[in-house]
Amino acid sequence: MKILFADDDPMTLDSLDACAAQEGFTTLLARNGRQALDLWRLHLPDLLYLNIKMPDIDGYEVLPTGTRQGSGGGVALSLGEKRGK
Amino acid sequence: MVLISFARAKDDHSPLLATVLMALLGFIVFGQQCRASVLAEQRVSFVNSVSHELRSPLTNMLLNINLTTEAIDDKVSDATRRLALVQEEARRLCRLIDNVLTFSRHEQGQFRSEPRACVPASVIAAVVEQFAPSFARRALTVSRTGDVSAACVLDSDALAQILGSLLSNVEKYVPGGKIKIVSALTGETLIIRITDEGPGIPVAAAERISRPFERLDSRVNEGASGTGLGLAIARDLASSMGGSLRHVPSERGASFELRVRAPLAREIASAA
Repeated sequence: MKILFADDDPMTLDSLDACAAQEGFTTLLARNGRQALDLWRLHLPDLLYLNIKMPDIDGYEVLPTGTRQGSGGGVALSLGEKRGK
Repeated sequence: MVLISFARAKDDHSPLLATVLMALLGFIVFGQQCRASVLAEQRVSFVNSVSHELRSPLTNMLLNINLTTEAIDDKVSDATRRLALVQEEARRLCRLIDNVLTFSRHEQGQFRSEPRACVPASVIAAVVEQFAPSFARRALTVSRTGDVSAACVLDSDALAQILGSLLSNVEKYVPGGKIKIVSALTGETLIIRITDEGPGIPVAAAERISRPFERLDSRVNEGASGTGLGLAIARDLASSMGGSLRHVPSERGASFELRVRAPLAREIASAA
């Protein structure tokens, strides 16, 4: 199972990666929304973990943009950080 | 109604006066309601921001403690690295809590600067050291120039807090590049200028963002986190140290200049 983690905090990204890898998951790591979209399109992960607050394209925008670009891939979504919405 | 009755008893022109008074009263009440509404909004936003700021390092600490527990028997170096990350995040929490407490003391008029002998160069080095692992992960390098190795009398905790706030902003908003820290002792003034290579701060917004709860971009889902207190506190601390903190317009990146009163310790000792 492939999980895409997108978070602008490198420490969080590293920690999530280590935890998931320890459980045997394949991980994809993105430091911002743009990288998340690129990795989503290229690797079709099974699960996305998106931090809402990221530079350039935030977590809210990644999902509709990725869907519009037809990335698909049977993706489940987990929003890392909810604020105000 | 009381106003109208009173006015009518006094004068035939009273209806006009009463109308004016009522309008004035309404205007005042409306103004107060608007202010109360803004304050309530700021309070909610502040609680949200602080909660988020507390939760991020706590999440990282919990994740890394779990990973340390897993690695401690057969991957000692990995466990050691994870513990260093926990320590780093604990320091981040301390800085945040210090900022909130300092803000609270300032609001209550209880903050007092506590000058004591210290070496500014050591204070700067210690703060930079705290950020070193985080800066390394973000491809940020620090260069320090200027001789501030003479012992001065100033509030070293406040100085560290100001520098911490400025470097924390760089950590949040600057994706990489050089951070220049230039310092000098001129007369009884310590001058420290910190310049980065990030997106910078528009001159028009510089004054606004040094006010409490104000940030360059206050949208709910903006790119970086923060409470909107760091710069406001840093400016207040600088002021309480007999100095100032100001944004210096620059062609590239953001630049802040800190000036605080810092008499040499040996001169104070000889005067005594």
